[in-house]
Amino acid sequence: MRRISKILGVITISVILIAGVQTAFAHGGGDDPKDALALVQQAIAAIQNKDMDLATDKVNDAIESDDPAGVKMDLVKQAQGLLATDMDKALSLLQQSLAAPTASPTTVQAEPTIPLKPNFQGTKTEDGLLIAAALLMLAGGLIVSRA
Amino acid sequence: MEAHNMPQDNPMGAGHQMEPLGEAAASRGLGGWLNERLSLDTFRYEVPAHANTFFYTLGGITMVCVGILAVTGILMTQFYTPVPEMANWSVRSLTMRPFLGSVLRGIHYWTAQVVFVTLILHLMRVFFTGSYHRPREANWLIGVVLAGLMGALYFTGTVLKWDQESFEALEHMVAATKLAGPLGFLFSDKFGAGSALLTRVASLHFVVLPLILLLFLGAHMLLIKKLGISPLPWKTKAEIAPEGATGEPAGAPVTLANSHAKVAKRHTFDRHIKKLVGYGYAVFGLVLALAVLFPPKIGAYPVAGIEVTRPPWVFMWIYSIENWFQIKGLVVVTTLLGLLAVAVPFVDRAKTQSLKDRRWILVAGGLIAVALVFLAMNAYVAKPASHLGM
Ligand code: HEM
Repeated sequence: MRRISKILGVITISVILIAGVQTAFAHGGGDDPKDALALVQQAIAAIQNKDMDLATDKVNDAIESDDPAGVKMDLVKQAQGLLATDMDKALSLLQQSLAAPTASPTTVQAEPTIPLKPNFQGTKTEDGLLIAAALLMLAGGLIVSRA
Repeated sequence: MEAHNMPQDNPMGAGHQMEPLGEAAASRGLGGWLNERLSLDTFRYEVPAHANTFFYTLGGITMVCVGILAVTGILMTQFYTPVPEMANWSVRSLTMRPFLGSVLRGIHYWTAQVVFVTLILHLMRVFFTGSYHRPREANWLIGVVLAGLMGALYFTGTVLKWDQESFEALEHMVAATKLAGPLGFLFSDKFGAGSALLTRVASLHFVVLPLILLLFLGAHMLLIKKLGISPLPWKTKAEIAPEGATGEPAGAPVTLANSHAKVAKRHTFDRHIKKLVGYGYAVFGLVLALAVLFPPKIGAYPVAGIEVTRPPWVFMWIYSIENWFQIKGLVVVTTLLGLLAVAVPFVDRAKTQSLKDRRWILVAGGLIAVALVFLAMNAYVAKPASHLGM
């Protein structure tokens, strides 16, 4: 048993050492983009994930960018004013500000036709499935209690 | 094992019984007909009473969930396109176009959540009852591998939908594999040039991991069958006062009524299977309802260069570690946790499964569980932070 503990100790220390040494060579992610197109795309993703501080930074950077190609800057500026007050409107303005479609795969053409959020709508099919689900749970409970 | 299930004195051998075997074989109707042909009696061997309780059925429920995941997963691959340009769109298309597509995805998603609950409870049951004690150490180790494989399946699954969360998850994986040294090379973006990393992750999720899982599940089941279920770590009422087991006070005279009750309490493995069928119905009903009421969301096509998402709850504890110690922390802590899990049967030197003898390991396990819950809760309140130096 003591030998096993020793072996485990050695393995643990080696793993920590290897991890430590490797970090020195680790690659630290990409640089911040300089072009307005990428910055606006990042701002959109930040809003969609509710990180408004980051979104504000990215919109500010985009407006100050030296490379505004592919972006309708007047819309970005309008969005800038709305970030704190009307998130949805700001998001939609930023989306419109991108001249679609660009070389970037971000603007997959079919995107707008397939919504992001399927929701419960209370259709007949859904109601039927819910009844089926209830019956399944009931049947399951009965089988378990009688087995 | 029932005496009439053992045809030792049948000169034609077990395969050619001339007398009907067991009640089920003798009974007419569909059950009897099926039994005669499929030898269902094989599963009527006796098991200890506790083997048929809920906590000793959690492994089986986990298995049922794995079955639901396999079926819904295979169906979903018919609609999914594993290339970066199409993946996100194809998942959304699945939820909108084919009839019940959203429900199909929902069942797969919700079963993945349920399976992690049952897996964690199963692991906790085995740990608590000390079932990893001799001779079940190897099956515990197989279990550790199963847990790792399920984690890998969950992780690769979340990458497939290719939204911001998926993309950042994959970036973390790439960063972590860089730290893992030569081992990580196979999973890095340098290996397999010509194929997108997403496509390779998809092949892991669809083929490689399920095959390895199947292999280890087979070994897990075989060992359970060979070694039998572990005894309870405490004495049952029946063992303390044998007559009390049927509900009378200890020492009560054996009457016809209570001896019948005892027979009725015999536990066989086919009852375990019947219960599992019941739990299967219940779980399927549950995930169906969840899929209809709360269809899983999907984010927009990802953007590189930002970190704005949190991982799913299964990995949430890791997120806190990353906030404090960056990716290196992720690699070190998960490795340590894996090693600790592997060490469990070897560091618990108690001679018995008794809870009293195993106090310190139970306390240690409890503390680790509390720490993980704390880390996860801390991650929920923390703001998404950058770990990749972006
Ligand atoms: C895909 C995941 C898993 C499945 C489907 C599974 C399935 C099962 C089943 C059906 C049993 C029979 C007893 C019961 O249901 O409680 C069992 C027993 C056992 N499992 Fe698992 N298991 C899984 C993961 C794990 C993990 C993560 C561990 C621990 C690290 C583990 C360790 C064990 C051990 C030691 C036994 C024997 C317990 C005894 O005899 O009391 N399993 N497993």
